[in-house]
Amino acid sequence: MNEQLLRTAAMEHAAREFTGADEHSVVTVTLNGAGRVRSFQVDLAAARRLPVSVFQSCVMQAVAAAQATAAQDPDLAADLHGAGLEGMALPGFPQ
Amino acid sequence: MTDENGIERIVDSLRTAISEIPQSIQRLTRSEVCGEAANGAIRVFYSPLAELNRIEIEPDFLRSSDGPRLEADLLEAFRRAEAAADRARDEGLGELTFMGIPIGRIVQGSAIADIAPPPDRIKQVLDQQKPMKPETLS
Repeated sequence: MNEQLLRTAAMEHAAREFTGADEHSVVTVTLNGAGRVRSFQVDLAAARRLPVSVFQSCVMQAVAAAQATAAQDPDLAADLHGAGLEGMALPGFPQ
Repeated sequence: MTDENGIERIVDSLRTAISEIPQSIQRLTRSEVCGEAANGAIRVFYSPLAELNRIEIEPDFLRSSDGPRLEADLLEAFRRAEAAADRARDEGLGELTFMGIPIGRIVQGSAIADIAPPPDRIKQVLDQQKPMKPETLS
């Protein structure tokens, strides 16, 4: 394994942003490529119409959607392919 | 110290380390850390391995907060939870060692070359290890 190439791929991936939303688009979250939350957008009017437990689920769904988007990033796949590391998961993302 | 004793000690230490890694990771998966914002009205719970477990939001806060404030407080709670997860993971995996080498840092993404001690240090650690008794070999 080329550790330096993996580090480079991880750093480049961390600089990107990935967005996800719940199925009703009440909550939109943006993550960086390292899986860290960068921002939230909330449709407050829609959120207030929901039971708080449902709103909590919307936040979780949005985060999961953003993580899934990041994990499927074609640029990440290209970076890993260039390093001979296809199929590897970067720290911070589910396998 | 003969070479054979040294190899036996390495194998023994490696077995111990291999058995401890899954247990340590399992402990981290089962434990939980929390990040709060808005005086506890928003609480975000992560495992130390950065898995989002759950969120708790006070209903009154959701009803009374404005949009930008809610978004900022959500972000603050998540960032605090992420930081708490980082600290818990570093503490948990930092305890993992193999013959004095902090192998938990490898699990966290450090390069082996960055943490491997120089050869003379490895020899020192080997010399300090208690020799195995022949009957313990399997």
